Amino acid sequence: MTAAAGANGESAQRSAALRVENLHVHYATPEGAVRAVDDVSFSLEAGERFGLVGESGSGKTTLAMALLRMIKPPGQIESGQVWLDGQDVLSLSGEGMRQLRLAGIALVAQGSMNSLNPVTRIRRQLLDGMKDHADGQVEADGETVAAKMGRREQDDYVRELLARVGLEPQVASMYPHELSGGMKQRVCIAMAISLRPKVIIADEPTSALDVVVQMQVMETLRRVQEEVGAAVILVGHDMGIMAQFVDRVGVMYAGKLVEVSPVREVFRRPLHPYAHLLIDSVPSLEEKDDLEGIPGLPPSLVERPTGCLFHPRCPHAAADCASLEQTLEEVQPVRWVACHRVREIHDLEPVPGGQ
Amino acid sequence: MSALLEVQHITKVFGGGLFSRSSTVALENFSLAIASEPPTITAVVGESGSGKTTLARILLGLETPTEGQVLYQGKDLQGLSTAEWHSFRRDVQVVFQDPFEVYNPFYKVDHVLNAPIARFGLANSRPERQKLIEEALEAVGLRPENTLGRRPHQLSGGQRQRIMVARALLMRPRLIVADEPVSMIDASLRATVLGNLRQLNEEFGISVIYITHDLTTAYQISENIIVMYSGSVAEAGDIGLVVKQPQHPYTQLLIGSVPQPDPDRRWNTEAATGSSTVAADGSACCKFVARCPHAMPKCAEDMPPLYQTDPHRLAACYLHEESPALQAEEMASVFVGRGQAGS
Repeated sequence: MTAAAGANGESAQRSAALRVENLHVHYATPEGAVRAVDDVSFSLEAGERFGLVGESGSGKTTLAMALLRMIKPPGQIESGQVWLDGQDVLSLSGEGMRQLRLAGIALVAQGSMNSLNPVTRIRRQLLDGMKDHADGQVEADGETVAAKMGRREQDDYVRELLARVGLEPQVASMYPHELSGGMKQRVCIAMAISLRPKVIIADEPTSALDVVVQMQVMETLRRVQEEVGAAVILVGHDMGIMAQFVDRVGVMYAGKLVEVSPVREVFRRPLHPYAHLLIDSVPSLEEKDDLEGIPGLPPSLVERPTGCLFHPRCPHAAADCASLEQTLEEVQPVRWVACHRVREIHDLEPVPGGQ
Repeated sequence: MSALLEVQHITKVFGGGLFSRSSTVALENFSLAIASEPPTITAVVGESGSGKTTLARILLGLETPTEGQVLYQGKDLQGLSTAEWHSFRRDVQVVFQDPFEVYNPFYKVDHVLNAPIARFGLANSRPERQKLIEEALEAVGLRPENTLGRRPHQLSGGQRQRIMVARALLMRPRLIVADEPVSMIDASLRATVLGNLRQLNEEFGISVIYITHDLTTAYQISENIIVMYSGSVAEAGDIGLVVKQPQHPYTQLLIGSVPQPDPDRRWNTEAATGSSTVAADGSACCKFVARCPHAMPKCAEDMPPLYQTDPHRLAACYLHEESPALQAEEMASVFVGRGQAGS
């Protein structure tokens, strides 16, 4: 079993909403190629909520953008495969990809409420995206897209979309400046689900919002995602939101996935030493801890450490960590960890039938 | 002994001028005395629009209150001499929220570190200056060799913010007003930067006003908390008490909404949908009345004073009417010192 197939869990390949295999994204710099996403493989089932966590510069946003093929030069997808609902995303034409965005894979960007057009009413903005990205496509459940709808149908659909995200129908005729930040973010979520995509990528969707509004927006996203049946990739570094929202967590470090596990397991017993430190550095309202960050600094992606990329900061580093490159392995059922010392550190039994 | 910095009955109103239709009260009758002894960390927590940044700007002398006074060592900021301003500017340092606006894109980032050293004569020689800068950068988790000589656009927002924290450290001030200093920094580095603030407080006796919307980090580093809602104090006192047993309905909502890093402890979604049956009329009422699940007719008629529900806590809510009421300027009297905090 390869890491790619296995990170998918037990399920059959065909049912995956999204499958990423050995994806590499490089940025060309004068100092050499920066490997922002380095051999990343994972897959999502329909309706699954997957969290991508890591420090800034760990490649989580680059990975998310690569799935949408929105990497701009000097960045480039070097190699790998992305399958969205059985469709090979990386081999699509530019126009084909444009049609797939929003219709197949949608983005709720960081601070996306500021991406609304200030001089256009919400109704028009919702419909524009649909017209632009689903030209001639007919949705699975037979609904025709905005371009083919009559005026009344469009109004009904806009009203339905707004209702789904908990907004009043009159919001349709408002301009963005008349809405609060939370309401704008809900409009962006309404936009993201307008063509019933298979996957929604939410890149720190609530980082600019207050906690009360944040909770409301995340609950809205969860509800519509369940209704539409879309899988969600939540990119972020707020472990609190991850714990509340996702089913499975992928921890990124220096462009690589170092642990992929169900969210409960990650919080209860993180296996990768980096994931462990990451969870330990999360403050809680339960008790006052010593404020300890993760010692050291993330590596420079140009001059990367040899072997395991985390070994210079790892409390468990041994001599051979500097020479052995690590790949994800299933060390316990549905728990994938890229650390060859993990069994030793945690005293784990080998997985029967695993590698 | 007079406090290092004190605000008395300040109100700040924006707008309402000749050409604007409406005015916004950002801060209403707020009083706070910040003593330099004992040095403490006080968190000011509230959502956007609660007036916390306005408070920071008034404390720093960047904004003049519409009513009320700001006193530095007992003297009104408006009437300070040049020498006193100089000492105020060194004693009271700031870390702003937005690490993008504070840099001049034409200068290298070294400029923001060199400028205060030159301005306040902190170093006598180039190597000494370099040493000061490198120590400050390392204290906030930056590699001097990867940071100095860069221009602002070459660094991430997080890196830029850490340079601003380093800049404040350079000055060895008596008070740091930190306005959302870590909201743009990575979670794993937040702990380090907040640990630095804590360390400055403990080792160098620097008081910190930590302005944030993040209750969790506030809880981790502060002794006392002031919960703001719409320009007024909702609840204040020992942060352990306020976080564990919030008494004001707004604080209860706020704490219920914090995403706990534990998949088995779901956030309290019911609290957020609570709305009230009492309509607010006019400004002289509890600001939270429209969202409060416990709203009573009385709440819409008059603004509740600060009721002292515990020796170390005040709540501005009529639910606690049986407790003794305190004057606004007495707020700091219930605060706990370092080490006294319950948890």
